[in-house]
Amino acid sequence: MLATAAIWIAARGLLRLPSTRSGASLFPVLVVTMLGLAVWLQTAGQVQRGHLVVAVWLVGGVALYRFLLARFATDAEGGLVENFRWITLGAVGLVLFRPFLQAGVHGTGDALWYGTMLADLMAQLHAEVFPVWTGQSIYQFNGSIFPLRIAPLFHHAGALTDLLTGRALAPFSVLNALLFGTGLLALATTYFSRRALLPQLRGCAWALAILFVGCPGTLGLVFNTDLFMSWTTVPWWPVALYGCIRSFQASGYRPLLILAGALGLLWWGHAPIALWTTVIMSLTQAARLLTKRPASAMIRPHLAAAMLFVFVAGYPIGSVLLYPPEPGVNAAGFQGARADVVVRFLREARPASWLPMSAHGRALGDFQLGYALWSALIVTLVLAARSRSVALTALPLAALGLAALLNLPSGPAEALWRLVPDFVRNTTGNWVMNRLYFVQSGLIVFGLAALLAARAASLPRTAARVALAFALCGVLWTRFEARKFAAGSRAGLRPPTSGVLAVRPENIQITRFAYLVFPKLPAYFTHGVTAPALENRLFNDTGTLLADNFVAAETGGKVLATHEFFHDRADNDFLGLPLALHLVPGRHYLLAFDFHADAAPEGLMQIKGPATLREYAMPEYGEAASFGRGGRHSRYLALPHSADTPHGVDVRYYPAASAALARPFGRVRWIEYIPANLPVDIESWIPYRARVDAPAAGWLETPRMFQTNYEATVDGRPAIVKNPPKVSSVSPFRRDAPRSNSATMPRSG
Amino acid sequence: MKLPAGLAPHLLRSIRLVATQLDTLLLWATLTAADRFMPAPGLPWLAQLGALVICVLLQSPNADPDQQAWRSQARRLPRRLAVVALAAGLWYLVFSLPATAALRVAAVWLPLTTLAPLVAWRVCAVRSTVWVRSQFQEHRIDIPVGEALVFGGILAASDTLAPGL
Repeated sequence: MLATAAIWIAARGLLRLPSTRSGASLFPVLVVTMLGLAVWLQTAGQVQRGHLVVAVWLVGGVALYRFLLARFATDAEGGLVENFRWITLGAVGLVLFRPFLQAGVHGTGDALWYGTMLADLMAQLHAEVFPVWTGQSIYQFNGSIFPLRIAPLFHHAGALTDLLTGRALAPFSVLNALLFGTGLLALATTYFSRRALLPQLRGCAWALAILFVGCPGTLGLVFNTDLFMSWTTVPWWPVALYGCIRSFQASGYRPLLILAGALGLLWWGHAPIALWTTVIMSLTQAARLLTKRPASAMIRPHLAAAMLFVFVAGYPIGSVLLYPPEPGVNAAGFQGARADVVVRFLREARPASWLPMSAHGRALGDFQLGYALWSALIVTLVLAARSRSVALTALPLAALGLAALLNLPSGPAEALWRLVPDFVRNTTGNWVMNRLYFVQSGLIVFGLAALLAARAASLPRTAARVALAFALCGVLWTRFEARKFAAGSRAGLRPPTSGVLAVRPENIQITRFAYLVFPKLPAYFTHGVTAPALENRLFNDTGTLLADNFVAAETGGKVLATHEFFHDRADNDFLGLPLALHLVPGRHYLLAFDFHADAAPEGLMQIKGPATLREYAMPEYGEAASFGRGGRHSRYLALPHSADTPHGVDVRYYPAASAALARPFGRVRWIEYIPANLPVDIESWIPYRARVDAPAAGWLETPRMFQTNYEATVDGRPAIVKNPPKVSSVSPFRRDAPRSNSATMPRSG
Repeated sequence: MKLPAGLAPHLLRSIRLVATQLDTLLLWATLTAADRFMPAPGLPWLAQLGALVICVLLQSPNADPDQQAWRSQARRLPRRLAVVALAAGLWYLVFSLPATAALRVAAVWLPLTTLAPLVAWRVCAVRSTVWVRSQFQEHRIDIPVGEALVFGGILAASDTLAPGL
């Protein structure tokens, strides 16, 4: 890094590059820099694809910067100041989003979920599958469609990030790069759209851009509770608002097409936010149509905009509503939100949502407007009250309406929320603050921008300076508050290796959220790390089990040891094994538990090693046949080992009651098995292809969730795919030959 | 140190205001460093703010009856000691900080403020302002600054997203 910077500085000094118009002299500087880099890398003898990607980014980044400079900041005095606005915006972006410049996992459970979703999409793209409709790889082996098809922008932007980084980054690094890049893009789109609205007050445009992105309700999307899908909408809401304001200022197609395109992208990003923004924008356009004459002249542009909107937003809206995983599933109503519950959550967030943020910015009350934007809202409303124009009052009024929904006392707030249609409320969910403060912050700053733009020509110089000073104070306060998000990230910082470890086969978690929109969880579902290769079973026509990979691994594998759980020291609060299990790379292990009849019923099973941390609540951690104790629960846990070096792992049981430490718990048999010897040997996940060795004709149950239009073949011949009514998740295959054959399940439609 | 004779009162006040600002700035830097490097519990921000307010109040140039000369180091010392004493009292009584905390701060702040007037700050300020302005307006040094940001951002991103690259 230092060598690259040194070469760049040397090249600049050597070739001199003083003005914005010296594009021609930029080229030799870049060439010298790249040659220097090549020599350095060659000398270092460790040229990797990543080095080339960085080199391309350096050239592309500087060239883009130069292009923008020549395009938008040409005049000497104005260009200097404009350049400084960009530099400070870039610096603000680096400071605000610095926590995402890491290779580890940033965030909690949802971040892990989204990271594995992205890993699945990347795996499918690397296997040349595009477009991607469902999960297929081991990262989403259940064939999940949520949120892939409801909020596809996150996944596709992630795929683009993977492409732009030359496929040189691990999935969680791609995720972090995506979140970081989205933040910078949001600052850019916000500033450029506001700059176009306020050409005479660019300082205010700069400050308002920082106020919008730095608002706790906006920044909280990515820092607080990992709302990454919502975060992808942040760059596009300002563009939609720009189109809306421009549509009032000038007639024609362009503003409306910008508005429609941006709204369509919002639907790709996050449906609840898109719903609210679409409703608000539709109301403002309706007001415009009613007040502007002649309305007939505006019909064509509106029709064109509507067509563009349907074209862009059609996929995320239609793919689930029109094509649910199973006929008759109400994909739009998988969550419900009652007015009284919404209001209760809002009440619980107060008064914290009116106070400065908590130390780490991770509380519910930290979804808030912030004092800077509250002040801006008051100024906006005062200015709007003195204006009689619909164009200038529409956005402030919408912001005021959201302020009422979010901040009124429980009684009036509940009455207001009851007026909101069920469809809108249910789509929004119970935690409305997660969606609406961000929407409101955009309405405030763009409402203020529209009001300032209307007065810019007649605004005294002193007033302009006062406005800028006011905005600067807001920026300082926003920065002061935003540092708490970074503090929270530091407090929860994980090692850089956590990102790589999270997508190792032995650590991949599939939680219940990966099954959303499907009508029912499968009985074998375990809420956490499972072994998809072993979740394959054979049944006969009457539903009797013919073969089970878990059982086959136990009976056909080699028993390495049998250990009894025991309590060794008085100060330990767990039951452990006498020895750590020694795992060898590339081998596959199974833990078969035999629980004692008097074993403590409730507790936590933990498997812990240098690259593994798995925890399972007991007596069950999922559905009726999940891993657990008693009933139909599975007593097996698979333990593959994909690391390069041997590791030892400890297996411990933490009973809920300390008295249970003295009672016998059970034993575990440590078994090594060979996957090729199993009755169902998975040869490929993309697409699903297995070699089946069945004792009789029957049905193959895979861990893929059933979906309409799945197709399957057995030995190259079409096979029946069905969804048994009692076990709605099973996707079995008819197998005709009595001995070994292979089954494949490519997707269709 | 004597100032040139015949300086207008507003210029004298201006110069003393700079001296006060400098003292306060140095005190802030000292407090910040103390907070970082002193053993726990450090200095609460309210305690730091209190010391700064005391400094501004006691060093205020408008309170100075002497309109003729830059106050000598000997004449300024009592006020500085008073700042230290009051800060120590405030910290000890209100914030329950050890008395040695103020001594440590004084050990850094007093020499700094004593030495600071030896530097011709105003000349430096004027020269640096002219230099910076020429660099930006004539040589457009803002462009390499922007390029450095682009370079630094990309390199920082590559270094952190792909450690060991």
